[in-house]
Amino acid sequence: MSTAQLLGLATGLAFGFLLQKGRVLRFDKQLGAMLLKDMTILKFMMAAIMVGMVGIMLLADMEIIKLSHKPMNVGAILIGGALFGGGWAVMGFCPGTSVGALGVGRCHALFAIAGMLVGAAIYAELYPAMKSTVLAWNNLGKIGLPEVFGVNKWVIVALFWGGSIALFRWFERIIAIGNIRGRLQAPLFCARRPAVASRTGGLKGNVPPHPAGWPQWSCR
Amino acid sequence: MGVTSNDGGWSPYLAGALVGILAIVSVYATTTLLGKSTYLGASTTFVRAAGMVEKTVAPEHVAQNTYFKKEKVVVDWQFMVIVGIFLGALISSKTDKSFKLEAVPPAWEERFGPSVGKRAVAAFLGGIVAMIGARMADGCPSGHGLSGLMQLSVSGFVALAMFFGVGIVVASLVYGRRMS
Repeated sequence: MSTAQLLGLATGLAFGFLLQKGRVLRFDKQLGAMLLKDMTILKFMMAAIMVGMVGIMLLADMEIIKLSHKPMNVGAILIGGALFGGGWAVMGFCPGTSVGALGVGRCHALFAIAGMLVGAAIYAELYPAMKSTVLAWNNLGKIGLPEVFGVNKWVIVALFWGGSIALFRWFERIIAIGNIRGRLQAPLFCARRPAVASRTGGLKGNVPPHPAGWPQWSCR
Repeated sequence: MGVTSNDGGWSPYLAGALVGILAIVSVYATTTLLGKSTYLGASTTFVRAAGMVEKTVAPEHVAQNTYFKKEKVVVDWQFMVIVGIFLGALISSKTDKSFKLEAVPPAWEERFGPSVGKRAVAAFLGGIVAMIGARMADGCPSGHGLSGLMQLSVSGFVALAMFFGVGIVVASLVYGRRMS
């Protein structure tokens, strides 16, 4: 194996390990995120981005690494993004998690992987037509938020951190409220229920069970 | 904030933060060892894998296709990342005993019943649409979502908003009926 392949394999091993530990490989978690019932995926992604952006911005500032923005190709990102979102919701996996899901024994991910391979082959045939239409409409190029808004990148990093922390606090509050009042139908945002309930409401040992509806599915 | 979730996994905040560190180390390692800053992503590998499969039946066609020429049908760094994700997840689930052979996901069964055929057709068709979209947008939740936002790319923010925005609408149309 070449250095590139070995390095890729090592990176993937660690990535797959963490995806599995964070429990984000599951269909139920992916769907739960899109039904706004289980925020595991969002917490996971935002925590990764928060930490990653600080290191990457520092290394880029020190000119140790180079940023590599994907082009902001308006038509392609809007249409492609919408198609992806729709397919993702039905399939319940994204490209990276589908292979991980197969690794943890979720055999049905094979159908999703087969579909994505066929989709890639179809896109390869469509590419010449895309190049002269969707991809050619309005390409704003490889741009980053700091240039667009004319502010220092650390301002955006700070805003992202602040916004994420506020969102996390809100998620955890909803768990507590949902459990205290039993108002929410599903086991909404349900990781670490008792701890949160006891922190916010002193309800230790007295957390009512989730109401019926979508029984426990996003909890396991 | 607990370290483990109630199913024996790790807190998503902790696992996510570690992925953030992995992403930093990975960009640094690719820059110094391979000479080019390379960011985590997944969907291009599906193009390469599709090219490899197609090659077995129509090698000339693959050799002439402009998209396969552009993305190069080879086992590169990202291809091995994907292989690694499979193995890493397998090892991790075997060691914490959460590995489980599953034909239909629980939430799907809840809504559409235990038929494997139904699930297979939906996953297959969803996969086709999703991958066409990911290639058009030039990225998936890894490439656009994680790597794009970490670099403060405009394209990453817009793409992730589209992924989740449309995903939320379609998910509630397809799966949400019994909740209302």
